Amino acid sequence: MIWGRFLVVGYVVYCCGISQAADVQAVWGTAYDSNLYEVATGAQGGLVSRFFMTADSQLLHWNHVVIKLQQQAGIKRFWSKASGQAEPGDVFVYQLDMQGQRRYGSRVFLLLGGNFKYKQATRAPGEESYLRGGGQVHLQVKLSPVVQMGGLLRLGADD
Amino acid sequence: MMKKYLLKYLFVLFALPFEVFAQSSIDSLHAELALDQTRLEAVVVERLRLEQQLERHSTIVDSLKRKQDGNKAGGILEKTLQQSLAVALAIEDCYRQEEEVRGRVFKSKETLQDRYDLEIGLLVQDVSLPTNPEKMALLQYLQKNRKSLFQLHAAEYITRPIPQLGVRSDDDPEAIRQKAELMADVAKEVKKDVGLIEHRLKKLQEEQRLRGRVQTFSKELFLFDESVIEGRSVAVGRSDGKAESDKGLETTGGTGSLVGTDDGSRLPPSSSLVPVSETGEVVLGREVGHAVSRAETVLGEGDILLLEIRRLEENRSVLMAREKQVDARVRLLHQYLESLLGDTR
Repeated sequence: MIWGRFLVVGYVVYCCGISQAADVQAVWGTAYDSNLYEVATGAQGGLVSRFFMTADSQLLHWNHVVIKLQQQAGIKRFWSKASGQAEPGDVFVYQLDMQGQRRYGSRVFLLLGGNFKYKQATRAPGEESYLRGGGQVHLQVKLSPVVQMGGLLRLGADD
Repeated sequence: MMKKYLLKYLFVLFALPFEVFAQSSIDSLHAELALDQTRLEAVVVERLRLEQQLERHSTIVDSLKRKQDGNKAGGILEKTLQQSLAVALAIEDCYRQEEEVRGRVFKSKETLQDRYDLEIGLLVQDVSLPTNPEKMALLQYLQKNRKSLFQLHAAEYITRPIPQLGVRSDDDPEAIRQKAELMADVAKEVKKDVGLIEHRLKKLQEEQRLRGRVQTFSKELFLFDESVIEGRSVAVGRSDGKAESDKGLETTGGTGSLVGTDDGSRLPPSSSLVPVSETGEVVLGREVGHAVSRAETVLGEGDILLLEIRRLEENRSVLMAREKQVDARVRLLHQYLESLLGDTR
């Protein structure tokens, strides 16, 4: 499973390489949380590390059409075990956002978006593992500089 | 239940007058700014008219100097010179007024910008913002207005004409000295404009840096779902290993469960209101579309700011080139003056 995670991170970097314009950001941080597992009584402090990579890329940019892709992959690692656990847990997340924008004239704006997210929580109490996807269509019409009208349709499912 | 609605009602009761007050404050500041901009335009038009008049007088003086008819030309020359002096003084007064009004306009814009920052900050802090399209539209409107505040001002620097004074064959050392002084004044003005652009650039770059940090933080928050209860690690039992009697929540990963309500408020694990299944899982309403709606605001958000920074950087480089050009002309005039004075000695 660990190799799978590295493969996903490698895929993020690869996809940035093939797109027109890309921006890759890697963030790592470790913080001390005085109530790591958010218990009501007997708070237990501990260290938690978060590492994630974000890759923003622009797949297409024509006159009035823009298609953007954002990929994120991250790992959260607890360094202190929760009560009842043999060892500390971790969380792995991968997320893909794709967004297409089309402008019709100067007033009508159509946005199509799709999202896919996978999260795997191992020995992280309270956190859920899931796989989810969603999409949305957003139509926006500017009637004046201050008045605008829009319609939004959003669909999604998870497992 | 009653408590929840009472709180919401109280929030609306307090927030509404504040929003109305904020809007009226922004409106009044805009009205003030528009008035100052009209004044500024009037002063600039008057200055340009006077400059044209001075140019005409200068042509008349030049033609009169070349005439051989002594007495008659001398009288007209004297009269024209007096008129030129009056026009020059009026231009100087116009410059003073222009600087004063320009300063007021700049200050009004900065005040407005601070006001917009405050409004935007309050809106961003509002937890109902992502789900409220009206507030989102208001936020976009405020951001757009805020960004457009300094666009005209920055454009003014570039379009401001720079007189290119040359040396004529009939110019005496005094005239050349005056031209050199005028060009030195122009260089000072250009330098001042560069300073203003740099000040604005610094503010925008700082804003971009802060925005970057906020974006990084929000990316982390949303990626690990730490903005909602389902992404936060909530253990049951004390940290000393004594498990509580509630077996509803397992601490094994992946099938861990959540304790909470739809509006995000957490309930104690032992609460009877929490729907616990036989396997110990608690099912909550998942915000499936949440990440998609976030992409709408995250993607392309920083582009406008970046474009403005690049535009200002280009403007600054143009102005710095002009500054060098004017400085070189000042040096040239001084060198010519020194050589002329050296010859006469």
